[in-house]
Amino acid sequence: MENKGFNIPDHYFEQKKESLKAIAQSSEARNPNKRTFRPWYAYVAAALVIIGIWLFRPSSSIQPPASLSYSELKQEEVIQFLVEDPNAIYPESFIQDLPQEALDSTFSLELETIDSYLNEQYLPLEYL
Amino acid sequence: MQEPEIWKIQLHNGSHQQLFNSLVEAYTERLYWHIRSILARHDWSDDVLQESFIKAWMALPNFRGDSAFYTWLYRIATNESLSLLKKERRFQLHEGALDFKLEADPYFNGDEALKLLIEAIATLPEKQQTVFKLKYFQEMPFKEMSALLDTSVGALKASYHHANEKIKNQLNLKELK
Repeated sequence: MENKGFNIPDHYFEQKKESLKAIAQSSEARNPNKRTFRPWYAYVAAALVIIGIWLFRPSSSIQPPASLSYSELKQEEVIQFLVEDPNAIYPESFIQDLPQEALDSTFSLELETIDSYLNEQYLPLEYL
Repeated sequence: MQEPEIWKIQLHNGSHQQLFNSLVEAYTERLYWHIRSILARHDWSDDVLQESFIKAWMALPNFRGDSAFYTWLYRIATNESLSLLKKERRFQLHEGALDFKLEADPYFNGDEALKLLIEAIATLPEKQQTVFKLKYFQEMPFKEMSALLDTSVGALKASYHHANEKIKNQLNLKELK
């Protein structure tokens, strides 16, 4: 091709060869057989970390407490609970300090009252 | 050309630096002219020559040595040349039209006929260009070209025939000399 009018700069090949050799000297060829050394205990440590994470992972069987919905309770159950109140342990002083009228008075729980408790509403004026 | 036996030994010994320097010394000129015959322009050929040798250097440890080093380098250089042609062609088409002007190359002082021929070749698809140039400038046998381009001899002959016809039509010639 040189004879057909395709030229090259002076000393092109000499300079090119030198620059190509310099490029090769400055960078390393990719050797697939040369692997970076990684000791066996690095793999063991990695495996232990993974096992530890797995063992101490938050248990999915523990469910967060579901919020109690009063609407799911039957009305009769609520009434029964409030009337019987098995956990009602009042200090004696509380009972002693009560005025006699209060001890004598009886009032029945009405549905309206229960509703107001359940709905966290204020008590009707007559009970204050 | 019979390649020195020491090169294969250096390859397997891992003496890549020495081997690479020997390859550069032995094949820079031949590879350059091979690339130049495909790309025509000196600046492109210079870039592709450098890129080919860098790729060869990086891949040298993976080379098993089944073929001659020259065949391997020739393949890399051809693929790189084809990639540049493809990229350049796509760019020119994106810009509006194929426009290859050899005048832009200060290292070309061939006659007008050759300039027109090369500019006509540049309008062909890159594979046809390569086949035509390898045949026209290097007089490469189709069998050798087949190994180089990984294409059957029949397909190469057909490509060459189409390229020949298109160029003759473009230059209003009866026969290419």
